[in-house]
Amino acid sequence: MAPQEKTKLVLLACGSFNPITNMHLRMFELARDHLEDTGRYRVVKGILSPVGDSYKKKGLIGARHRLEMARLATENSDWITVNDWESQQSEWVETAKVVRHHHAELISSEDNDNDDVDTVRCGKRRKLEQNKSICQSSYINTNADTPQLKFLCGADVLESFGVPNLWKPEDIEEIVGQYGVVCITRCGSDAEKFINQSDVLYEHRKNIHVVREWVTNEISATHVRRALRRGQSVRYLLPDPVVRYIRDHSLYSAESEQKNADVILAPLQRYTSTNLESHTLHLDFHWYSLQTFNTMPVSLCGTWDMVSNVNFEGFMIALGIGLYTRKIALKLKLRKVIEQAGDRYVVKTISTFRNYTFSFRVNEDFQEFTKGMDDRHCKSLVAWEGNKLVCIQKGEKKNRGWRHWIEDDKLHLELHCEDQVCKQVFKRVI
Amino acid sequence: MAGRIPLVLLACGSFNPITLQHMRLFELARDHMHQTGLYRVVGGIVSPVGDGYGKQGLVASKHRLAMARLALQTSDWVSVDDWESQQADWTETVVTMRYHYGLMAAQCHHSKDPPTNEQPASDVPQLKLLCGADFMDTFKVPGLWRDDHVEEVVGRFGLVCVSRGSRQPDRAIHESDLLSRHRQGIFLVREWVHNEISATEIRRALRRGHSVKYLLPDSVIDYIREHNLYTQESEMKNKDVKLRPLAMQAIQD
Repeated sequence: MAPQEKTKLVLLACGSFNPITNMHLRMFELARDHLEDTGRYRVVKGILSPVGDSYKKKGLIGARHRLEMARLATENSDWITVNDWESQQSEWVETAKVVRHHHAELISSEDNDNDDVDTVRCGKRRKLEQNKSICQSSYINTNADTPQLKFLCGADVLESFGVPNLWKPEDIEEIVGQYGVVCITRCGSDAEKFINQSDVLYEHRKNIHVVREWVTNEISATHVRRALRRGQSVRYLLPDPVVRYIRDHSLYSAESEQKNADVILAPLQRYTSTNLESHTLHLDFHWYSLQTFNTMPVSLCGTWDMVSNVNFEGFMIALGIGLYTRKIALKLKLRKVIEQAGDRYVVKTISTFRNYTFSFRVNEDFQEFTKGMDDRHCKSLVAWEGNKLVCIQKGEKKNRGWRHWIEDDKLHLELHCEDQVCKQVFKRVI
Repeated sequence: MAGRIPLVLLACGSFNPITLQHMRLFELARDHMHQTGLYRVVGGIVSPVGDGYGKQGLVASKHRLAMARLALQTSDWVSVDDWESQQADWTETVVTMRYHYGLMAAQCHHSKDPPTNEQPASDVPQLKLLCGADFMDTFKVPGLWRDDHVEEVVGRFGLVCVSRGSRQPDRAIHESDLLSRHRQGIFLVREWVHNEISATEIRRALRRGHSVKYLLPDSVIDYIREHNLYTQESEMKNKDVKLRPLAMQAIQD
């Protein structure tokens, strides 16, 4: 047989793994078989990347548990590993960023890569050696030695590309175009049809490997958690060490399932500008699932009274507000009223001196006229960054904007202009 | 669980090879029977069929037994029994059930004093046949079952049937007068997680050099590899041989 050049591949799977199941592990095995059967690839590594707690999915238990269970599940696999980078980030990380990160890691560690396990096929049977000896091979791996990274997922995730505001279009383009996707389908899901119906997926169809699952194996983590809540056995659905771990740590109760029940999924917080009140998005799919929601975080809405105000003077000076107005303003006890009206948010700042009201839709530019303050026109944009609502006010003044967030049941506000930052804290009245 | 009827679940089958799905059957059945409030499951038995069954692709019983034992090493309530596979000829399911029930009854009476008011003789566990929904369809195959045997399996002992994928055992029961008559002896367990690890598919994957990890216990996979079971050749075994129960029926007709 003539020597062939095979592209080295690393498969990356992102997900909640809440908990990891045999089905997740099967996906890796199926993907590897499929890719190596083409004769063009050699799969050298698999990476499981559990999502961070800040993803805010309902019922998501602590990342340290999910990581440990994934480690236990893969301890006797010689090519699938668990990576904690994503879960260690303080904010939720877009999948494209995770893919980018791992790709960068691959490139930088190419020279001192010791975990490269050779899973070369010998004849028609795959021999997985426990030690890392390289099987006799007639394949030569030449120059392009850096492994390619491919995103491994279920068909449901592929279909989730179509859900509004769950993915950034440029991220989908990047994942599918630059890296490539290996998609495991199941009965009832027609991945090919979906690819055909999406322009961006169709354009990169050569980069999407569809793998048919020949065993109907729908061990959903949701079902597993339900069984555990009801005291039913989950043995043989998950690896034994994981079953034991869950039992030893009493994970997955009715209580744990309610975690994040009122919180919006991080990507939706970040991207969404659609009508949140009348759309109830309820999608249940493999590794990412959305909870039902119909309001913005309840926490920001309400009536709040000021309890502290630091460097308001410096901020006002930066805005060019005159002395007389500043003197009055400093004496004021401000009240904030934040309301939601449909998909618009209304923020009122109320005092005995002047009131200021503005409204916006998240991720949508709006014209702002800061009447009664510094009377300037700005082009403003409000977006979520993690759990903070952040506004950039573009106009005459540089570096102008504000951020709102909840901390310890208080509403925090940071106002900035040029090099001045004013910090205000409010306590809830209603 | 005082006052509950002790119960042992017996699964007969090829176990060619045993899979995680087989082991799930026991777990699901135990949970279900406990939830009825009437039973306390005290044991499970895997009884691989003998080589005389004549099914295509059936590898030697010594291997199937070894694999089942490896798979159940870590189970604290399910064990493997070789009586059925040791019999000279293929044994009807009902005969296997009678054997195991007799064994349990004998053990109970030897270890106890004669039955008293406080300890009635009915301490002998009940024995029920554990199966998947596809098993229910076999009752329809002409010549595969004797009517009086079906009567005994379902009526005297009882059946615990775990539904599998889209197969609804209700239909099989509905379509059979015999089964319908003994409806109360049939416990249907609904498997909500679609997990159809078919041994046929497993053997196909093995022939093609594909991975079966996470579908069978690692110990079983290692065994299969060491003994090079499940090849094109092994799948051709018994190709032209008639299934034993059908052959016996033909003789009797």
